[in-house]
Amino acid sequence: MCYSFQFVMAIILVLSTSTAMAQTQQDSVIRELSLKEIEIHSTRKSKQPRTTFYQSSMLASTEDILARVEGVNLIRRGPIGMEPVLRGFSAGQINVVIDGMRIFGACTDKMDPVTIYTEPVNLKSIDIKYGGDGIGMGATIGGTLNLKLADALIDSNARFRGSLASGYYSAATAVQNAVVMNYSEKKWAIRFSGVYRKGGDYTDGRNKKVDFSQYGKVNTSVSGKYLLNKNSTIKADFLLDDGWNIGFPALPMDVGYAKARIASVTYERNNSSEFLQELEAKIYTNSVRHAMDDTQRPAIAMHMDMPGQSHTMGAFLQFRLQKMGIHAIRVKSDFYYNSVHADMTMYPKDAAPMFMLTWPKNHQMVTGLFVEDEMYLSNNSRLGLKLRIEAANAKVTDEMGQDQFSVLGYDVHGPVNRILKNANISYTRFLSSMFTVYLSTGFNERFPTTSERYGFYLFNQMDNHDYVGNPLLKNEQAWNTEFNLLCATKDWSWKLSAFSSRVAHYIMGRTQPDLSVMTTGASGVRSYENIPSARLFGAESSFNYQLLNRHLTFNNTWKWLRGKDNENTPLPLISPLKIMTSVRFKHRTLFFQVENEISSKQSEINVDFGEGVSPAYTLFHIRTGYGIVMKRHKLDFSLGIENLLNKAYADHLDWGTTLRPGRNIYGLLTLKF
Amino acid sequence: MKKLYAFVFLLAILTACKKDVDNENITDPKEGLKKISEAYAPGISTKIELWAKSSLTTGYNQLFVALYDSVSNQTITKAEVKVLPVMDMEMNGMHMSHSAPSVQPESDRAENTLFPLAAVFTMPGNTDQNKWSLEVTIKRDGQNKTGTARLAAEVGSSSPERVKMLTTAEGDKLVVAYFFPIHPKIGINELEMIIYRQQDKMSFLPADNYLLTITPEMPAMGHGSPNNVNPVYTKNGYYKGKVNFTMTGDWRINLDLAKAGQKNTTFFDLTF
Repeated sequence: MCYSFQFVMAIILVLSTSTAMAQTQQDSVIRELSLKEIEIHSTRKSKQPRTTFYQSSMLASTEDILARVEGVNLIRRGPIGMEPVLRGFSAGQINVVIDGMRIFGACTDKMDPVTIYTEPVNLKSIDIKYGGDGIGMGATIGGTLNLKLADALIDSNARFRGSLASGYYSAATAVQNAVVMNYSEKKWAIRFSGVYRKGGDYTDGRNKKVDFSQYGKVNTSVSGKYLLNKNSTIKADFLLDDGWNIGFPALPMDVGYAKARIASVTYERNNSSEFLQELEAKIYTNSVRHAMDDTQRPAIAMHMDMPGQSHTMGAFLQFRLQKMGIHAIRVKSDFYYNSVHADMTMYPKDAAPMFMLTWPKNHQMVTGLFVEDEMYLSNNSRLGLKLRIEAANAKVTDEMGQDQFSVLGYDVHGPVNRILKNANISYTRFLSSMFTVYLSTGFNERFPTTSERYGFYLFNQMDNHDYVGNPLLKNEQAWNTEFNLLCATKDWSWKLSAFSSRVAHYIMGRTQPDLSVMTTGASGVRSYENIPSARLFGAESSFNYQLLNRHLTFNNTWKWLRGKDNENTPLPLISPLKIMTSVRFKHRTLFFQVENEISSKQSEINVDFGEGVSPAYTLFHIRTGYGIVMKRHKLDFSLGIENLLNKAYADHLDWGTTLRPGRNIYGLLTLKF
Repeated sequence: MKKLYAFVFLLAILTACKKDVDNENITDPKEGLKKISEAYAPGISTKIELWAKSSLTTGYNQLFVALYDSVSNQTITKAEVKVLPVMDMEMNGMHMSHSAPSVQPESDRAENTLFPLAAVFTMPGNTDQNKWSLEVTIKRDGQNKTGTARLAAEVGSSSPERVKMLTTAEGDKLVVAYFFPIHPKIGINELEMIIYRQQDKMSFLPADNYLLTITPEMPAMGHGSPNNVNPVYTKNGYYKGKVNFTMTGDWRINLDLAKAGQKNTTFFDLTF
C-alpha cells in the first residue's frame, strides 16, 4: 500500500519492539520501496490518505489513475485506449498483466492496451514494479504493471454490500454508471461489478468539438470465492469488457469494437506451519477481439476492414518456502501460450478487394521459472536476489503468412527459440528511524513482440511510416539500476527515486529505402532493428504531509525522465518534467481539494519519429465532496472542475497534438450499502 | 511347414502391396486435360488429337498432341511432330492468313504418350471470319512419308490480356506473353514469359537478347513489392524470374524490354 502511516509509526517503534515485529514493519517498508501499489476502492472509502490522490473520484478510469502515478506516463491517441509507459518503457518492454495473467491486445496499431479491459470497480489494486523488480511476472526490461482483480469478500457480518455510482462529465457530455455488489455466506461469497461509460465528442480548451473522440464501453465482472477449509480457498473470476465506437482523433480510423473475455480459476492455500506457504495456483484463458473502423471518416482513400484476434491461455504456480535461516525463498513457475492474427481487406473503387495479413497467424509460447530469495543479513539490512529463466518460442503458423513474409526476404517457416535470462539484486538498509535506502540493480532481457517480429506494413501515424517486422531481431537487454531513499516521520514522508537503464540491442524503427510504401501518403517504410544501445535515466519524488490534526493533506509528486540513443539523439515519446501538487482539506465527511498539474516544455525530441517541441502547460483542478451517513447507507456527492481555466493544451505524449478536453465539470452520486 | 506358410503369406502381402503402388502410379496422361479437336493426317494413316489444359485463349497456351494409328488405334509414341498456328481471316471477301509464335516438341519421343508444345495466340479466333487452326506435320518413326493435318482451334480472349504486341524503334515486331502459376499467391511466385520476334507473316523467332525489368504495382494504391527477380532468358523464347505479391487484389506488372540502349515498355494486369 502507498504511504501507510501505520508503518511509519511502526518504524519509530522498531527499536523498542521485538525483532519479529520489526521485521514485519520492515517488510512493508521494502514493499513500499520496491513496489508501487495503488489501492482501488469501490465499496468503502480508504483510510489511506494517498489513495484519494491517485483515485481522484469513484468513477476515475484505470487510465486516469495511472496518469497520476509517478513513474507512469500514457501515450494518448484518443480519449480512451491510452498506452502505459513505465519510466520510458512501453509495449513489449513492459508486462501488463491482469492478476498475474498474461493478456495481449489484438490491435496491430496499439489501440487496445490491456489496461482498457479493466475498470477500477473490478480492481483491488494496481501494482507497479519498475525495471528488474518486475521479473516475477515475466521477462521484462521495463517492469510490470499488474492489475489485481478484486476478490469476493467472505464476511458473514455483511451479507450484502455494495455501491451504486452515477456521474456526468460535461466536456464530453459523458455518463458513467457503476455498480458493485458483494453477497456473502459463511463459506462462500460472490461479487459482481459493472460499469457503463458513454461519451460524445469532447470540447477542447478552444471550445471546439474534437471530432472522433466519442466512446462507449461496458465492463462486467463476476468473481466467486469458496472457502475449502481454514487455510485454503478456491476462486473463479470472469471478466467481460465490450467497447464500441471508440474514437481516435489522432489516427485515421476508430475502433469499431474491442471485446475481451477473461476467465480464471485460482486455488490458494496458506498455512504458516507448513513447508509450502502462500501457495497460489492459477489457470486462465482470455481472448481479445478487435476491429478498426474507418466508415465514419470523411475523405478516406478507400475503406478498409482491419480485424484482429488474440487468444491466450496459461497457468502458474507460486509458493514461499518456510523460512530457512536467513533465507526466505519464493518460487514461481509459469507458462503461457498466446496466438494472434490480424488481417486487412481494402476496398478500392472499381477494383478487386485487396487482402493481406497484417499479423500473420503466429504464436508465442513461454515457460519460466522465477526464484526470489530475501536474505535477512542483520536487523537493519536485507539482500534480495531475484532470478528468472524463461524459454520462449515464436512461430508463424499459417502458410500464407510464411509466403507473404518471404517477399521481404525472410524465411519464417521455422520457429524462433530463445532462452531469456533475468537477474536482479537489491539491498535495503534501515539507516535510522527516519531513513531507509533501497538499491536495486540487475540484468534483464525481453523477447521482441509480434509487431516487431512479424508485423506487415503496419502504419504509424506519428512518423507517417509503414512498419515491417524483422524476424531476426535480437533480444533487447537492459542493465537497470535504481536508488531509492525514504524519509518518514509521523506526519510526513518523502520518497526519492533515481534510476538508470542502459539498453543493448534497443529495438527501433529504421528507414528502409529499398521498400516502397503501402499506405497512400506514407513517407517511407521502416523496419525494426536493434540499434547498438540506448540510455534512459530519470528521477521521481513524492512528498506527503499531513497537518492540522490530519485535516489537511499536502501531496506533491515529480517525475523526470531522459532517453538517448547511441548517437545521443533523444528517444521518442519521453515525457518532460511533470509536477503534480494537491492540497486536500477534510472535515468529517466533507472534503475540498485543489490540484495543480505542471508539465514543462519538452524540447528533447525525436524529429525523425515525427515529434515536435511541446510547450509547457499548467492546469488547475478542484474537487469537493460531501457524504450523508444514514442508518445503513452512505450517500456521497462529489463535484469537481477539471482544467478550471479552460487551458488549450496537449501533452507531449499525445499523438497528433490533439488538444485535450477543456474545462470539465463533473458531478457524481454514490450510494454505498 | 509352418515357416513356409508364413513365408508364402508374407510374400503374398508384399506382392499385393507392390501391385497397389504400381496401380497408383499409372494415371491417365490426359487426366485434367481437355480435348480441343482431332483430325486425320492423310497418307500416313494417323489420327491426331489436340489437347490443352483448358479452353484456348489469347496468349500462351500449353498444348499436347496425341497420335494414334488410324488402323490399329494404337498410341504412337515416336514421331517427329511440327506445328504451325495459322489464322485465316475473311475480310470484305478477301482472304488473309498469318501465323503466331509456337514452341515445337523437344523430342521425337512422347512424354507419357503426349507430345508437349505451346502456341502464343496473338488474337482471338472463334468466328467464321477469324479462325485459328494448328497445322500439324507428322513423320512417324520408320516411315519416310510425312503427313499434315489441320486441327481447328477455337481461341477466346484472355482477360486481362496476357499477350502484348510491340514494335521496337528498329522496327522489330515483338510478341510478349506471360504466364504465371495458374493461381498466383501472396508471396514469391515463379514468373515466366515468352518473347518472339516476327520474321515474316508466317514465321517467328525466339527473341533471346532482351534485358527485362519488372516492376509490380497495385494501381489502386500506387505501391509495389520488394525483392522481385527480373526474368532472364532460358531457351526457346522463355524468360524466367520471380514476382512478389504482398496482398491479393488487382496488380499490374510493368515490364521494360531493353536492347542496345533502346527501351520498350508494356504491362500485364492480373487479379487474384
